Amino acid sequence: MPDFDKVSPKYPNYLRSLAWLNTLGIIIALGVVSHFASQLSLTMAAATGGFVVLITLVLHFWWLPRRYELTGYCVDENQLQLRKGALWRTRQAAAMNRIQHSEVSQGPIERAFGLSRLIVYTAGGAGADISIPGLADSKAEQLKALVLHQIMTEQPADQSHD
Amino acid sequence: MTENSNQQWQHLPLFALLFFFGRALYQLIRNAMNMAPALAGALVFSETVRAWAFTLVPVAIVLIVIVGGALHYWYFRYCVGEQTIYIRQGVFNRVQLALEYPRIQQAEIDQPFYFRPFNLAILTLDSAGSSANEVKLAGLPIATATAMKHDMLQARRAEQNLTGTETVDASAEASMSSNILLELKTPVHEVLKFGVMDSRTLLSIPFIIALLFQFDRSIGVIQEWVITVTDQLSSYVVSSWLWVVLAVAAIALVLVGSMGFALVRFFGFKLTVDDEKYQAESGLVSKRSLTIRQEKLQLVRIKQNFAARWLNRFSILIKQLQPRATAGGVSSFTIPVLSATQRTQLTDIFSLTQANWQRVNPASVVLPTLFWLAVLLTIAGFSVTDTLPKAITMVAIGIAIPLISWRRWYCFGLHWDSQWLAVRTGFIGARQSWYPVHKLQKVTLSEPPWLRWFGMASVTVYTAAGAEQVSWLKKSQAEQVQRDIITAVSSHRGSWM
Repeated sequence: MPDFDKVSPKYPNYLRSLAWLNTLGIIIALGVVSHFASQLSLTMAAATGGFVVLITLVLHFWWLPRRYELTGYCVDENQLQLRKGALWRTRQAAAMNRIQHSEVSQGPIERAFGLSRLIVYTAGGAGADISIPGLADSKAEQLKALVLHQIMTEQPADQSHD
Repeated sequence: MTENSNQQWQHLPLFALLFFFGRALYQLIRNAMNMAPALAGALVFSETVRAWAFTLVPVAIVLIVIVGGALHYWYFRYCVGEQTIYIRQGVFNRVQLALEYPRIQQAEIDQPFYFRPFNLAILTLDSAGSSANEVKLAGLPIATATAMKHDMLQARRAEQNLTGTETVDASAEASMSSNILLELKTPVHEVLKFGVMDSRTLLSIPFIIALLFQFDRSIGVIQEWVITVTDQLSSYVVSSWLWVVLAVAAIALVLVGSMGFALVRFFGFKLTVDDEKYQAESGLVSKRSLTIRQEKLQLVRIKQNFAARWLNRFSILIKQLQPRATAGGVSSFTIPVLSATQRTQLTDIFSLTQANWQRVNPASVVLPTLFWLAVLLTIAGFSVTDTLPKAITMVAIGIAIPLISWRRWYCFGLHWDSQWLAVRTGFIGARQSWYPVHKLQKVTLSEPPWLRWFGMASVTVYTAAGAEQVSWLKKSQAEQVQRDIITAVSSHRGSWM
């Protein structure tokens, strides 16, 4: 069982902002719809909005801390592993010598928190990439360089044919 | 096109249209065969489909063959450079490729019957590169084709002499191979067996019987005629026997048709295995061949359905890396009929180890059993109205579903070692899928809440030929699969692509 490194402590805050931004979006949409369409009364819209807020509170206090605790990665000379999921736990592993290329990606909210995700691609088709979320920008670049270095040192042995 | 500005893109000669029409028709039939059960189902259950089937479909077939064939012909261009042949093809999905002569593994000349009177031929090129595998140049004058093939072989030989990797026997021009490990030819009477074993045929049979019931008016006419002829027999006996005779005749017809298709596809099947590649060729009207190089092998699937089990035969599907969806680009071949001894010979060559099949936890049958019981009992509850038949149907479902689930669990197996990962599924027959471990790209261990509750987990392996999931393994066992595979892959230092 490998030792997993935790992702950045800013990751839960990023997840919380994401959850509350989504909630805000839903509430605004409910308000707009109930204002223009008579089918949705204000009481119904408020009740639905309240329910969504309740779910977000559960996510905020119960699910997100667990998600953060369980999200971790492990990179060594042979493999890359990612562990994640609070309810639905997964552990993805790919051998270093099967990684085709890697990229660092960052959305606008991630940028606000100084977070990036590292995505490594294998040749396995749909679902066969590994995406490590919640990495500090510098960490993501550092990991990418590490992965690249490992791939480069693999290459000569690997390209014997073709 | 900058590399060869002094050369011009050329169309194939106009006669090649015949080849493109033929190929369009072949692909149409092939696709229809694949969808045969679904088509038969639509034919049985929909009045509209039946009405259309006899009017629009023939028109559509002619259109697809003529227009499709002509478009593919029009978009196919080639250009012969100094040491390279450039090819552009595809109507919607445009493919452009350059085959360097020294990289061409196989250059074969075929003369199908429709080209013979005109002294034309098909030149089939097979490259082991990762971007292309097989290209057919149809309708070339035989002299041109021979000259091109000669140039390609010269180039390859020059390259090999240069690198000194391989000594080429001048007489073995076409195969260019070395050590032959196995040569397997399937005689006609064995190919016919594939007509019986083809699972599409077996799936079609129930629908064809159902289709018979749709035409009871015409059957009524036959029935009256038979009754007047044999008025000494009671009409009940005659009508029930008539059904049996008709059903048997229909099944026989389907089997004969299926055997016909098997002959067209697999006549003269020959498999050659040497220390570098597997090569299969077959075909009644025109031969087609496919070569899979060892390092590109992605999946070996051994199949035996109930008909094959009854005949004591097996089929094997062999798949290579990078399945290409473009027309004519084939990435797998089937060895249609194998006896038990031949199967062992082949599995020895693939070095498929003696499998140590491990079952998953028996609790895995609970959820699917409950699901199917709920669905089928509800349907039976609403559709059968009389009390006694209802009770009998429900009891039958209640017994059959758990038995089927148990049997499927019993047949399921997982095996892994440092060379292969294999999954076995089955009910009456069996299907074993063997993946070379060092081709596995990613391994995921998941614990959905219901599995975690029982201390279980599922493992998904991703290969370039698709993903395979095994659920209800003990968590420790799942972890071990993941660990073993990643260790085996990361310590593998050979070529894999």
